[in-house]
Amino acid sequence: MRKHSLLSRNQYMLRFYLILSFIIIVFVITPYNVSSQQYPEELQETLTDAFEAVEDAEKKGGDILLLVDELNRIINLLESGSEYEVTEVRSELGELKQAALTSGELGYVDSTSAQLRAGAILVVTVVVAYLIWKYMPILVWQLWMRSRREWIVYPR
Amino acid sequence: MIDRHITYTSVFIVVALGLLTAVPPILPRRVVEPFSELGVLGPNMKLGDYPRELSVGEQFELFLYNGNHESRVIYYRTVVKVSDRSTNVSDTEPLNAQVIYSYDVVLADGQNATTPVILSLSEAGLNRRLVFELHKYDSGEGDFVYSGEWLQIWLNVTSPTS
Repeated sequence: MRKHSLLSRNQYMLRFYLILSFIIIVFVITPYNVSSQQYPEELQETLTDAFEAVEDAEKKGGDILLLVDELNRIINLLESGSEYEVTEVRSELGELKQAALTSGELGYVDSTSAQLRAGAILVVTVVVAYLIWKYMPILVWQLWMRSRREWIVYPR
Repeated sequence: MIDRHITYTSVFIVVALGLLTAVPPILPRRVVEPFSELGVLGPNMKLGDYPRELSVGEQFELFLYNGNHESRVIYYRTVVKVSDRSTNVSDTEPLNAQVIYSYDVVLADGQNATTPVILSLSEAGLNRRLVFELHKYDSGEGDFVYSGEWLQIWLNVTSPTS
């Protein structure tokens, strides 16, 4: 009876060490994936969503420097290890995303108006060049004649 | 003939001024070769004054430098990994090793950031390799992707008793 209980204890210890070893091995050999979450998953997603909004704003021609500063401030807050309210950070990222959308829209309007302005300048250039081409010779000769008004021409 | 000379010159000047005014603002910026920068500076913010001999658990300071010349905003993640001589680092595959530190920063085109980091190593060993890898967030994949930029520092780490 005593021998049986000793065996049971040994078996129990063996099982315990096997499970522990398995957990340690799995933990050690699992390759690190850089995409693993640094922050709570929902915050990481909100953060990358906000970044994508900033990226879109830049593509549309928006000014993103202040948005980038704000994004880095939030990242620093998350990385600093200091306490923060998840809901507050999420709300700040939501505001940042909204600001990025606005910036993108403004950038789009700016780039469209810049294209229209450029088109208008090109049209005016072509018109002015045509008018010069057409009327410049006449104008030159009129000026030439006006500057020599006092000339007297004698027959040979 | 003087009228023709004046006409040609005037037309040329008007067309040149018109093109110079109208075209540059609508042309996309030309980037010859986009690139990102990754640098590691020693405790005195200089290249090369890295620690060589450390003991386990001893804290040491380094500075991480990231620069963006990709002509677009980039979300960078710099990861620090510990390895030894047995593993290879390549420009295409990230090192499969333990990560001891990770640092995120978002940089607009032309911006750079230098950040102090305090690290310590938990295992003793000769020729321990501290590898710094740069990863960039890829919106298409929705994940961080290894950029191919990496650096390394060799360290001898001794246990406190030895």
